[in-house]
Amino acid sequence: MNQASSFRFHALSEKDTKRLAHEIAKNVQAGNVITLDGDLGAGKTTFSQAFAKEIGITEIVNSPTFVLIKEYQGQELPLYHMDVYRLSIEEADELGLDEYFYGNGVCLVEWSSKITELLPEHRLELYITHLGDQERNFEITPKGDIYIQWCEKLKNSGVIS
Amino acid sequence: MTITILAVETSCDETSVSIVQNGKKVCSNVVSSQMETHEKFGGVVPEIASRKHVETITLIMEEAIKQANIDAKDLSAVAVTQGPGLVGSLIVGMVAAKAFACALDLPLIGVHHIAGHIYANQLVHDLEYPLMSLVVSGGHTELVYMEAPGSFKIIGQTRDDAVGEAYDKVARALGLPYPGGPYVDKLAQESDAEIKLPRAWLEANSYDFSFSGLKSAVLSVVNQAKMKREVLNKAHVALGFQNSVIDVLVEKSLRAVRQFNAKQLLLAGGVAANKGLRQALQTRCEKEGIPLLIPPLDLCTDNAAMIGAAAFLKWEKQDFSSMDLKSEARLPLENWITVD
Amino acid sequence: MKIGQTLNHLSNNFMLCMDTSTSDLTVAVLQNDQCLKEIRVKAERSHSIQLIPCIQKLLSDVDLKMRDLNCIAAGQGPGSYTGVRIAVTVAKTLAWTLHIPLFGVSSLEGLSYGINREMKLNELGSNGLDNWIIPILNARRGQVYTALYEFKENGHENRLPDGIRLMETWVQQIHEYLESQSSSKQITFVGDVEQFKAEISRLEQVSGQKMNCYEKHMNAYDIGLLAFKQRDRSKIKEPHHFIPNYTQLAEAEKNL
Repeated sequence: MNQASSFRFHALSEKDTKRLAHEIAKNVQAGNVITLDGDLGAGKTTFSQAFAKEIGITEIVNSPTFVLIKEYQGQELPLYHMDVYRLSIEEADELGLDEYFYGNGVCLVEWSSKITELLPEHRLELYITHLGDQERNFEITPKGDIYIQWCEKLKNSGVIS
Repeated sequence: MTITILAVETSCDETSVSIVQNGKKVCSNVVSSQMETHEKFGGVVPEIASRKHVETITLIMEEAIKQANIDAKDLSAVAVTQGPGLVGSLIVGMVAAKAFACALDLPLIGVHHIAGHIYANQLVHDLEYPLMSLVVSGGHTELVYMEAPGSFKIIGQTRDDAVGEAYDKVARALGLPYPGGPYVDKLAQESDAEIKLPRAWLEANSYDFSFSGLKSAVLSVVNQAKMKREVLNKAHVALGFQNSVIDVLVEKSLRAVRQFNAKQLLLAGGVAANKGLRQALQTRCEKEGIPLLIPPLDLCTDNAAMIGAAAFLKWEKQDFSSMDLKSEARLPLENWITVD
Repeated sequence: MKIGQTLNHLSNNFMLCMDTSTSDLTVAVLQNDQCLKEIRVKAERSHSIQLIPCIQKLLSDVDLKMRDLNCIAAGQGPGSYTGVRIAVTVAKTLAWTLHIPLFGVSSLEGLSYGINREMKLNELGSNGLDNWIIPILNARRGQVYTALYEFKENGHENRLPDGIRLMETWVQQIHEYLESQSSSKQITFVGDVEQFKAEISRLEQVSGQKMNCYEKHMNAYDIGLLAFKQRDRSKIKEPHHFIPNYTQLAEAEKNL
């Protein structure tokens, strides 16, 4: 039932990336977790910024690298923006990530592969590959029913393939 | 009357305690750096940073008191960095400062880390308001306008990576050690040519910064070289990157000084140690007749003396913190102190 | 400031005790081995905010000043890393500032000692057998901070050291250890027992023995009592070198 098959989205420009953020943000609700992985400079923060804007955050959303977790208030939902690159499993645990993952906001987790065991079972995984200039490939893997439904809806409306 | 403040700073990976008098005179400023430990990991590891703070905090307090040659009964207050920073690190300094204050019955003063960086300048210069401050560090890139003492207005900030962070990430891409800033700076200083990289000016009237595009540009240069199996001249990339960063920082700072009629430009934060940036600012400010203030290197990087300097603002207002003061990873600067 | 330690008259002293290794925050003042007052609050993640105010309230309730204190004791963990650091940092700073002796106690031993005290008080489980007390604190992902302490009529001893262990294999280890004993033991689990019901009942099945299980909170009083028992010059901790017992290396260090 939770068979994880992947979808993809090809972004030719930053505008396309923003469109994907818009489509994903449309479905978002409290307790959703979206992970962002990919090499340095792949565009994880760019996607996060576009996503934040879509859920009504007006202040600047900059890199969470230094303080690890930044919290913002969106129109309806709070956003928890994390960069777990420097975290070990042990410390991530200590930061009380569960309170964010199962809380009343949306989590965007950059470099999530560093803490895979701590992630909620149900989540939307985005893997970004840099193809040149502003061109990106998004590999989208839904884990859990609600995310599978999201993806299928996005596929049916021709957003992702 | 002499007001003697013991200040504690543990917002990131340096454990520091300082004794400062009247917000101006540094009696001691002891910094225990964990750099070597974190170098091995290629970045600050929060849990390890917190552990080192616990290991050294009272030793550093003792050393600061000893070096200042004062008696604990001469102290007027205890100051501590409340934020922003790494929560686990902040907490260790916070509870140590509270325990010390409580044991000696001294008032506690919570200090904003960035206010500290700016006020590091007060330890070596006389400040004249209104002034403009460029704060550049591993976690921050901000242009702060100050109309009067204690009045902080952020007129520009980074929209993505902080300058120091961009340096670290570029260093990582170039295969240079952590922390990347000094290595990139050194390579750039020695380089005879540069690879031209883009500058992010953003909207014409904006004082904000953006470094992620530049970071991507560096990565694409690195990747292209790899694909073509060419040996990349790291120094050329370093100089190109550094010139791009500095150009934007210098231009925006000077424009801000002019527009706000600031009497001085202050440089603050760890990246103020960057030679290229200092030289560029010095040259331009001299040319335009703008007084430029840069603290000595040991007051640019994280240290407790700057916390003691900023704490004096609150001492003057007798604005003390209660013992349930909370460490905040994202403490806002603008309302940190109430301006009359 | 003169820094150093003077051993005051430990026969008639006021001891401030604290523990922040669990989600509870607990502080107490003892006069010798008598508890003058104890405060415990469910602090969750606010230990760093509440600890000093709690100490201030505690002292004012018993009409003592900081300078009246003769020694300090703190639970050194193991437990929540951030949590343990708070009591340890406060304790070492106070001991150093006030020039008074500092004692460190295992938080797990404190929890075990406390349940043994309560069991004796309420005449629970007493059947003449040695009591094996196994403190368990949830360390997440199936792991526990735990140890095995043996309580006899005339005192107690640590049998298996404080550490972080997988609960699943830990019950197996306890079973094997039990088999190797010449006499039978009474076994008592204390701490987060509810969350590990399944593992404990498996141990009951394989050993054919009923386990005592008590959900219990940490009491600073027990930290104090254990410190009082070790009131000996050689056990005094040098504040500068006083650190938590994490029981394992930080992940990053381990992988180096």
